[in-house]
Amino acid sequence: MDFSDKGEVGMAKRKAIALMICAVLTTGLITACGSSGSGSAASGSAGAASGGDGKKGETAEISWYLHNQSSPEDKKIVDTIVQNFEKAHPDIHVKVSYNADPDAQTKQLLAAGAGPDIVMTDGPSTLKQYAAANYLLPLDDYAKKYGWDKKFDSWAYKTVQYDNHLMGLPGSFETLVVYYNKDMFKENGWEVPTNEAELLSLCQKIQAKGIVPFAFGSSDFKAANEWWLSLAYNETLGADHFKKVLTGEEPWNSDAMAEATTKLVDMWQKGYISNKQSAAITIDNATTLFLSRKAAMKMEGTWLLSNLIDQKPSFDWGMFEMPAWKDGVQANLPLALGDATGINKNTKYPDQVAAFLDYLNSPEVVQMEIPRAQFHPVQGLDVDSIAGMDPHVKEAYQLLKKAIDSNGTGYAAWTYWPPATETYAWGNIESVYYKQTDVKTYLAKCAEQFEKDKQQNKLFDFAE
Amino acid sequence: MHAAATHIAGKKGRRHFRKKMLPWLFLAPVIILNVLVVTGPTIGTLILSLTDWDGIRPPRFIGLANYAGLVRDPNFYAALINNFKWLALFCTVPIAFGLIVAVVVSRIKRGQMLYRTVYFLPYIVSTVVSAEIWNLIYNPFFGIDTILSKWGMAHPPMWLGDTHIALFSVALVDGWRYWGFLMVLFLAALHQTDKAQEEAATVEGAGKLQIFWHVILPQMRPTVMLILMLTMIWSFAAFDYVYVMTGGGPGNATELIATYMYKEAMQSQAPGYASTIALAMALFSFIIIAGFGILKKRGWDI
Repeated sequence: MDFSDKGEVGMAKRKAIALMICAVLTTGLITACGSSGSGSAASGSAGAASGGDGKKGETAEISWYLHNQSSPEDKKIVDTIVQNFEKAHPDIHVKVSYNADPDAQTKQLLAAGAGPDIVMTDGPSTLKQYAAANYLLPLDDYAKKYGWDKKFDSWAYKTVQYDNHLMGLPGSFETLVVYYNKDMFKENGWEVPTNEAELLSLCQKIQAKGIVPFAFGSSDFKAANEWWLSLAYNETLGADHFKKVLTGEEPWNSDAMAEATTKLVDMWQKGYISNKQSAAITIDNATTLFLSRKAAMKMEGTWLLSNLIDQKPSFDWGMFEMPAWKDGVQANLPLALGDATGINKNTKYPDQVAAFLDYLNSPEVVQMEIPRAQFHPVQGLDVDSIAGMDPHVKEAYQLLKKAIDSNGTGYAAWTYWPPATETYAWGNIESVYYKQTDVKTYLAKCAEQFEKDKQQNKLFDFAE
Repeated sequence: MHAAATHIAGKKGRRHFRKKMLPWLFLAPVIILNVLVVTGPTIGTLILSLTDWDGIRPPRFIGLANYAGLVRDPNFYAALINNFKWLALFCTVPIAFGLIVAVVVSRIKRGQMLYRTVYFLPYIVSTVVSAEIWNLIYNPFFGIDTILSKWGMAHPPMWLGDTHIALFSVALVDGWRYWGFLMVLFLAALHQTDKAQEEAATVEGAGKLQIFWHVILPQMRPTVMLILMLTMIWSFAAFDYVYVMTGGGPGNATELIATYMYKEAMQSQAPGYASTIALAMALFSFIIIAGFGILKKRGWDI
């Protein structure tokens, strides 16, 4: 036996084995990458793909991404909705995925040609951007089939049109109100303000008592600053005048806008809003401030109602509409749609998703959600018939409906303001509060962003 | 004869080829991984920085407009200045503190492990958890300020609500977590120093401070330089504590380049511009690494 040969053969064998291991590892890696890629595409494009090709007789799985910060009560409602729908449609399975940031996830997946079947957005503004990017399926045929044009309130239905096509369905509507500690008001003889002078005088009185007038926090969600901005512009200019700014008839850095911004900045600098600490506390901290009687009022959206109902404050509380910030201006409730839902263009089950969207806006579901302060812009609702509804929720619903019917609504940032302007506005107002920049420069930058939005055709379409 | 020669030459060629290829094949998984998660995204970032991509519409080539915008962007400069402040803080306070405590702990004969563990503990606590705990401590209405007020302080510091101190308040939290890690590194280095040199210096009459400065510290130079380099690079990539505790606020008082980049990408719908900021960030890291590379070439132990 030739040992040198054996050694060479052995070496050759070892090399061959090494090459094989290498090849297997490399192939494995490529396969892993490939499969993870296709996996995400499959799970993205979607729930659609996970259920098959949409052939008759098989279960269609449609995916729906939701926020994981929903309260247990809200999650229970989602479970009930899905169960009831699947019971009525045994051939459809709704796969709910809870996620910390479903909006960002959806956006990324849509850009990659995937995404959930049910495309839930944070409002008409994002929905229209998705429509412009051709991510969504036009719903005109389904609108005819399900009679959606007659089902929804026209103001809400208009917000989800793009390029003369229906691109989604409006979600729940909301507004900004002032929650207040009724007991504290009664004990101190304070009255609900009806104009700017009364509001400022009330804040002064509350502050003199060592109590924070308005609890508000934004350290965990800077966009919350737009709640105050929405109020400042709507209540100082009035809804009709502010609409001119949103359509570009009047510049963002007009004198009227400067006056409104200055009023807000003055309120903040006087310490009326969280004692000038709004940037240092979270939204929940602010709620605690209100619940612990360290603040007399809290300005927030109607979405806070369900939270307050769950928390059960130890005092009698109520809500009122923010008064106008200028004499001669009609107070209004800035109106917004909290979400808008479309159908993924790449879904394999458009009919099934449309059926689910229709069910989501059925009287059965809508009446289930109203007690949780989820107000759907659906016509013919009878809130009086809903048993066990908290009177505060009923009051808020009626307040909003009355404002909508009597043309007493304004334009909330997250529905009516163009995206770049909106983001700049809430992202930089704190710099004005802290005198890092002045009102003039701030509004000039807003105007710059507005021009950018205008050039990119991103202004809200107010056309009738 | 000719056929045999050709056969041998062919065999040699194959063997030579295999010899050359084998290392590459072994490296292939890592190279592919690198291309997929480092090189590819880097090239992607470079390309995106030349576009006006908003994350939704198809990107449009705009040349160097993002770079021109960056050099005129006051928010970027505010973030850059904050990053330099952050860097200056982290290259001094936690390093000095970690070194001093490491020297002290290294002299402890009994229970040294307990001290090591206690000081290292903050490092293993999740960033978000420790940031939220400190948020509660700093809370102006329910946190430490209420105690300070009870003790008679009329105007306790507004830790996260005062633009002059917010950055330092957040840096304190990050430093609180970081110095324990540095202490462990210094302790490891201290254990490797030559004790004979210390003894010789003691015999020669050197004081403890002199021994530390002239005998121990020079031996720890590679560790100190490595820590300095890592701290400098990490300072430019700092993100988590600021993001969780202040979101860059109040105003832009705690804005760092990384948080600004994130905001531009995720909130302002400008991933194209955010890519430009990311490249600027990478440039600073490159300068730091190059600086240390030059020092190494000049004979420094790094």
